[in-house]
Amino acid sequence: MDPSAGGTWNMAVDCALLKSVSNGGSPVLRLYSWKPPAITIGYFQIRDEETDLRLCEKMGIDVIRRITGGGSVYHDNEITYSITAPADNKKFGASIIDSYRIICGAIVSVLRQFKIDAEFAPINDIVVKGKKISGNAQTRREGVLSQHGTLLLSVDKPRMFSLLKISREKISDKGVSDASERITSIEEQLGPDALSYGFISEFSNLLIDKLGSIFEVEFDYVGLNSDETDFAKKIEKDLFKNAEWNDKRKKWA
Amino acid sequence: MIEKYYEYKPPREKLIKIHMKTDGFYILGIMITGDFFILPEQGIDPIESSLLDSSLDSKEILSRVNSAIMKNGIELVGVSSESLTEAIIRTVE
Repeated sequence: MDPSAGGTWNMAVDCALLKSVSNGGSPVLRLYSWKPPAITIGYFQIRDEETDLRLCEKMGIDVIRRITGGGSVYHDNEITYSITAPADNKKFGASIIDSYRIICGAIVSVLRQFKIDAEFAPINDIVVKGKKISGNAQTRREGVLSQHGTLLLSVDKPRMFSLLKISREKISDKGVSDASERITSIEEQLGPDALSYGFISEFSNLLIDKLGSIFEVEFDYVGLNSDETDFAKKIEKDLFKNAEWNDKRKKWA
Repeated sequence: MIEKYYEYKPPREKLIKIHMKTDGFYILGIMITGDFFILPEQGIDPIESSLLDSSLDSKEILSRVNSAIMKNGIELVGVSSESLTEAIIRTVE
């Protein structure tokens, strides 16, 4: 697991890994977490349409636009993964839909080992009894697929939903009137003690094994090399800390 | 010119939000946002551009969206040209 980092750095490292794989590097599974908490929005979203930007700023929470589509996510106590691999390697999925099925399927299978009744909910979610526990997003560019996703460990729902703006239309087909009813976490599923008893390391090890066997890859534990670090620093500054990128899609004045 | 906004969540697809400027006859400006996926992501630009000056007729809108998709090798995931058209039509209704 990478050391906890802020949102701009976390997103920059995923970009650096994408570049590294596009230059011929090996497939990478990255596991990471967020400190301080941050919000990411999808490529096609508008920051102040999806979040209470003023409150986020007051609370020191960065709101960062991802290079992937999908929806807004409040990242706090969660495990986040990213998988970066050559797009022409069919073991990782011949299409974006295929990759969601394969990678989310591996996460589902690991969660079931903890007796969590998880299932893949196409297009890109994992749910437990209809409640979302994991969201996932993927891009394919430069001959590389890069998919990242979350697993909620515990969630402060009042905080999450004071920062995120969820439209009624979005949950119109979910059978709930309040978006917070549609979310669950490991803590909610396994009880408050679960996280103190090594869940994170056990889950991480099982996921590494599962994905390694599916992709027929033996993952080595390595950090970023100097080229990747340099690129991550550059892209963090040029994109994720840059208002021009984050507000590329903006409400009309 | 008036500005219109509409949210549409088609069954089994992602949320589409339409921001539109129209004179009641033609699309004068459009921004399509939401939690869908478009590959390559920059493909949203030719889709939006293709809709400028379109009439508000659903056949013309669908044809313009499909043509932009074909021309630019765009893949839609969690959204379709039909649901984009439907969202635009609902925005002006």
